[in-house]
Amino acid sequence: MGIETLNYLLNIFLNPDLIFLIFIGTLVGVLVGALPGLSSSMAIALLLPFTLYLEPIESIALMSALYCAGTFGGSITAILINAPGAPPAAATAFDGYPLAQRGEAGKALGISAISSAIGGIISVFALLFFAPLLARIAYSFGPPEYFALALFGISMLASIGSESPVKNIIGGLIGLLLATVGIDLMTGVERFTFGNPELYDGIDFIPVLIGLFAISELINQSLKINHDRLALAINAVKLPTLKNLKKIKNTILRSSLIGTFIGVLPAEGSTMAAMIGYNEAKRWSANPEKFGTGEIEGIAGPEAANNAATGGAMVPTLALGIPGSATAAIILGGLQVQGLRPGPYLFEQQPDLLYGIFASMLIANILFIGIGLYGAKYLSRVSLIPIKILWPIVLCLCIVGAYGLEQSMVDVWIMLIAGIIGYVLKNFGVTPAPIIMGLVLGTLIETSLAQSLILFEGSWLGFFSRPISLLFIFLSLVSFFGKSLYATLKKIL
Amino acid sequence: MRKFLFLFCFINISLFGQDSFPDHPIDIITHASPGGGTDTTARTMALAIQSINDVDIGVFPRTGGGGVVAMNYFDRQIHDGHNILAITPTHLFAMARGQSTVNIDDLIGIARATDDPLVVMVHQSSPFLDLNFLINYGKSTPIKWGTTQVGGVDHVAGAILALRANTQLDVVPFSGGGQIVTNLTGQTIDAAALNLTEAFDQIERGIFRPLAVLSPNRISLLPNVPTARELGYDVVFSTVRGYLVHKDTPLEHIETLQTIFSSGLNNQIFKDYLIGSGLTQESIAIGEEWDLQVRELYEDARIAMLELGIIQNPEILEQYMSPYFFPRVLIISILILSLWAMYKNRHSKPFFDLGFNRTISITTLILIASGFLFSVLGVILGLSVLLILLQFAWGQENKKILFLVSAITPIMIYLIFSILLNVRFPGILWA
Repeated sequence: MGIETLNYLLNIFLNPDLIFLIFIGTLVGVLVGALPGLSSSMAIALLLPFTLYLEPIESIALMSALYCAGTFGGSITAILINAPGAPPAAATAFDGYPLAQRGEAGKALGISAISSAIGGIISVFALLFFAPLLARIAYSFGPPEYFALALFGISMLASIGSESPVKNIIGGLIGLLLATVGIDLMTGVERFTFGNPELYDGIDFIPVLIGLFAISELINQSLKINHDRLALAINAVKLPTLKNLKKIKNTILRSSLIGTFIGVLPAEGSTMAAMIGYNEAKRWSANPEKFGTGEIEGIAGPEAANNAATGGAMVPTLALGIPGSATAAIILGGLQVQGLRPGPYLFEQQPDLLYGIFASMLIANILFIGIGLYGAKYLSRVSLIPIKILWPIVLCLCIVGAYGLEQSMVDVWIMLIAGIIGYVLKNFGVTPAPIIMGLVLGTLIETSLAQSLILFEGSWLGFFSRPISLLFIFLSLVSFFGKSLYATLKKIL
Repeated sequence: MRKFLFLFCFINISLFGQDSFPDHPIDIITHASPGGGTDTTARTMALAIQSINDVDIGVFPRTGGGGVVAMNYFDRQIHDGHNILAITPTHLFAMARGQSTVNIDDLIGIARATDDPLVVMVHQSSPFLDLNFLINYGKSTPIKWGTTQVGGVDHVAGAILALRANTQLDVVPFSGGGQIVTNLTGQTIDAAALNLTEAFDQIERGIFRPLAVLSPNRISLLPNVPTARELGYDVVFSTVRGYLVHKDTPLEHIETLQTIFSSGLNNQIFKDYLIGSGLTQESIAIGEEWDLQVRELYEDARIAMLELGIIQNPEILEQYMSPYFFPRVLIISILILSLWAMYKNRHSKPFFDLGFNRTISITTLILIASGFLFSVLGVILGLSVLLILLQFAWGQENKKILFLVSAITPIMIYLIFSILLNVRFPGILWA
């Protein structure tokens, strides 16, 4: 970190507009994170139309703060009502809720806030260090390397979440297919536009996103309109004692590193990180049999990991334009709508953006300790807003958000249709996250393939003649077929 | 944040009923991703304009499709002068191919910012010491020629050069000058015709080697680099970057814009930019001069496209991969994988269960209705009716809450979007 870095950071810390937006992002993030059904991905999707009215640095500060805080916010409801506010917090409920049932909700929340913050902060430093390095390497990346890397990103979809790998891949391919709508960059030929000029520039990313994340969830929520939720009473939230901290410090450190690494992998985000963080905390623990009954290590493990994955996920997103998680894919989409192109160029020409992200994630990670500790009491009440009131309001925001972007009704229809199709697909086990990954990677993967073929004069073997592309193609094959190959081998031997 | 403040000012103005132009930020719609010459020029000009006028003006990139995306987006906007189309020869080529909904006769010139000659460049460590060297190499192996867009000016320049020099070219399209610079630096391509504005830095640092200038005369910043004409190839192309509005724009707005742009382009900030790019004050043209030139350029573009056979036969642009190849592969893969997934899950769930029970079907119907409600009844009434419907369908028993939510939400949303974000809503009750 040179003087320049400090200078950039100081500019951000002294910019009241930015700090205000980061505060708003953190607050909204914790809130939506805490509301079951509303996730940070959805909140960012809903906010995207607004961010277009902001300067790039302001919009990215808002989105990244929301991303960090939303990941933490999920733990509040996981602990208090045993319903994770967002998927990454699922593992937190295993030990958080039992602890809260014993009347120690305050302690559970305190541990969660501190672990999340430390995990997040470690990963933000990893982001600041690794992203520029990766971006420098990216200078030697030509179209073949980008193609192989994007292919690797798609292949990683096989292992995200708990759904079946094949269905995740199908989702990714559907996303890629959606991205081919419009005028082909290489030849200028129209595809799937059916002569409709509104579709020449492709299906807009934001309406699809809002539809897939918010509208399909709204249909889903209509099944739950009569569920009553009950929050556990909460005593004063307190910071963990020194003794507690000593007990969980190794867990936090381990989970932070695991989370950062998993975050860096394309497509793998907080949910996976939290699961592995929990399992590792259990495996290394002195008394693993106590897990599930309210062990504080069982809260620290997943919480440090899922927040560490946020910083990690931004590394490939910013350095290469390959999203590190579904939420990062949305942020990437938002940057692209603003006309920014992630990659080495971003770091050379617009370092203030990188530092903007870095600073806002850092500030958000510190801010939510306070919001979490002092606001948990109120947030837990907000999370009890009946579905019958909350979701109709969300629907209005979706409609106006999709419309306001280009003031076109076509976008509203795209959003509604995407939502209904998204619900049906979800019912078949195809979740929105891989679709969004495919949609974001679509143009990159297709144009880099076409560009590579020109470079190789039409020979597909060219991909194997360049070490980096060979490596990523090999890794893609492993992640596509590795599991079944391993199973077959085991059977034979 | 700045825009928010501006919008607040706008609210004040509109409350007093004045009709002032511009009354909200002006967008310059470009086709290039950041880092290219078109983007840098537009941003510098916007900066120059803002430094002397009380006008909020920004650059709004809509990349892809050889400028078609940007032009079609422009065409869909309201033509009141707040949306300005940045045009380069690339757009004119696309227009000549009939790809855009915008026609040259729909446009009126505001100002020209640059007349930036193209320079053929290669990497410093490449064996191509001069243009003839490159051309001879291309006779045996096609030259990998990076271009900003398919059918863009640098593409056509390369293709015409190849035609005149009887050599071969493989065109590698990227989505902007910035990407070409990255790929030429990484030597994934052999050569490109770049503007000085895009690559002067790399020439100065000795990374790129300029081989020939595609202008009628040598340029002052590169006195030792010959023109293509001197080398015996009659190829002259420059990236003209100018700004136009739709012909439906009110005349007084066009005049205001011409004044604003003239002041910005003649400002020291922009002058310094031109000098730094190796250009002169002659790059700038305002109003009629530019309006006439853009029509001449269009005619030139059309003739070049005819010569290359692109207008008659657009498939000429296909190289190695048909535009239908990738979507077809995807559709086939999705089908195969879906069949595989169905086979694997054949025992688990009734196959055609789409997951629609009574509640979900009602919700879905309301969702479909919401689109119509919104577009017909407008934002306030439409959303109110929608809220009442949905809450009623979901069994909201507390009537007080039902009406409170249905009344307050649309008004809040209207206030935020319409006044703060300046969104114009549809609907007969809100025309």
